[in-house]
Amino acid sequence: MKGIFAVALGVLTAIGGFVDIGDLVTSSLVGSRFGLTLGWVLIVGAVGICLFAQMSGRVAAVSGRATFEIIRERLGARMALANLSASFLINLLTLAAEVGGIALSLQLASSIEPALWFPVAAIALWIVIWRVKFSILENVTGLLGLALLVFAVTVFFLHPDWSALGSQFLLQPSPHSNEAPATYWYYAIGLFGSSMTPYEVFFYSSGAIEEKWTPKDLKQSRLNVLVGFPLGAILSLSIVACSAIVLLPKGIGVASLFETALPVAQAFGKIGLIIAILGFVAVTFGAALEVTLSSGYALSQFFGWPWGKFRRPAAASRFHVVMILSLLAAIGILFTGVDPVQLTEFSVVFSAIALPLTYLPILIVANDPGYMGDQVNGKVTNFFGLVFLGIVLLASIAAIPLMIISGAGA
Amino acid sequence: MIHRLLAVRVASGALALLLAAALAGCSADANARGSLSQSATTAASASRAAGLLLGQNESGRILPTVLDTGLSDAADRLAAQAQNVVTLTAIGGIGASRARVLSDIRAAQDAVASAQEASAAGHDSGRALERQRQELDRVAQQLAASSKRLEQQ
Repeated sequence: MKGIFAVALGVLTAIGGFVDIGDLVTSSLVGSRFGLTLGWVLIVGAVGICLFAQMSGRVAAVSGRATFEIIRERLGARMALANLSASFLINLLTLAAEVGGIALSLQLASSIEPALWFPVAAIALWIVIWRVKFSILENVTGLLGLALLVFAVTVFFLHPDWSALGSQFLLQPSPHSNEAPATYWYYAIGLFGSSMTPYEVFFYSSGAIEEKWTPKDLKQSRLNVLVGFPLGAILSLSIVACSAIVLLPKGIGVASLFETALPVAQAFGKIGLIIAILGFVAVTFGAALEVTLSSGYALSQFFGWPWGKFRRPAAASRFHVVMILSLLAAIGILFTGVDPVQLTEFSVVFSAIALPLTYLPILIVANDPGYMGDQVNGKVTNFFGLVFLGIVLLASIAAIPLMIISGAGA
Repeated sequence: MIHRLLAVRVASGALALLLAAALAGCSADANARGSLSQSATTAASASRAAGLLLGQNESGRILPTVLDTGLSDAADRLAAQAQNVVTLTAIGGIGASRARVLSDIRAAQDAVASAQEASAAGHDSGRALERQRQELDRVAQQLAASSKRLEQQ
């Protein structure tokens, strides 16, 4: 019974924790401009993140060390530095976007300007990281994030034209959509980047060390990833569908978080809105915790400093200082006056640019018998790993030219 | 012979300059039209979002905090687009279109401001909000039509 509960909790947490501000904004924006014609990207992205998260979790469980530590040892300081620089900068951008997301969500609940919420959110994040146990912070935010299931239910309550939605999913553009091909592909890369954000694999592999995984835990980890993440992707897909049903026919292109919530209000009124806002706060707060921790993990593992929440803060002081500085930098970025929604759009595209530097080393380490023993990647995993590396590389190369041609998706 | 060569070079140089100037002019013209069309589309989208918000408010589906946030956001986006249009150089015969788009954006701004006032006034604001919703829907249609016309030119 205890085992079943642990599996269910893991899967539910993975579903609720899959969505972050990048998914919220990009999914609803894409739905409002392209309908479901970009739905396939979410499926590709979900397969990719399942593949690499499972790989990095396996590396951690088998070797007893986080992926970043092994990358430096196995591939040398130069390669690890390239990996670190790209990931850390993207992490900072993502963290600023997530803190902005918390502030925007709290604005929906209070009408108080987001700028006043930035420091409150950062202090709350720091207190939770400082005081709350790893398993509690992961499970509570993940479970509260399930409130976003209201979007999946909304799709059915809006009584959509299923055949029209189905044909959009099969790449038949909606008559309301009139976007240029470059803009379509620009947002395809953004959506892909939001599904495969680098912090997710660093958090997953370091979390495995925090929770002291051994090879015995691999079965449960596989189940969490292979069931939880695809269900999380369906949640993202339902956000796309909600926007495609309500906003696209009205010609409303999402540029703000309140617009993401309008389809839920249409279906369920105030109660639905309250549930959606609770979900927004939970997923953005949960993701901000994960990104903050990932910043600490990445830098500490690179420099060989003691790290982890399983250590007392005094025993991992530099790890905690990095996280505090990352939070301060994120607030600094937000106080420049940048629009958090636009920041999110850019952060997911820049994530896509940095993806090869994150995922290539993981694939190399997962194939090294010196670390993995008989748990090295099988032929099928390697085949899909290489296919995804190709996709990631293509997305990374195409991102900047498409950004210029499409005027950043304008 | 030398004079003829020189004359040919000067003529071809002048031709190239003329061509470059014409191309630059066309490109600037197209850019201005594209920017104006983009502003009209964004303003239409913001007006429709505010209109949808007011419609949902009429049927009691919106929390006051979300209404307040949504209207402020729409006001900010409309103000940004008005600013864009004001600073746009009216070249290539887009002066009339620019004036029309600007006047529509200002109408949308007025409607959102009135809705904000009516919403702040509290009860008995239903009819005033309904009027503003209709106005926003009307202006959004005009802005979308202007954007389409500019794209087709």
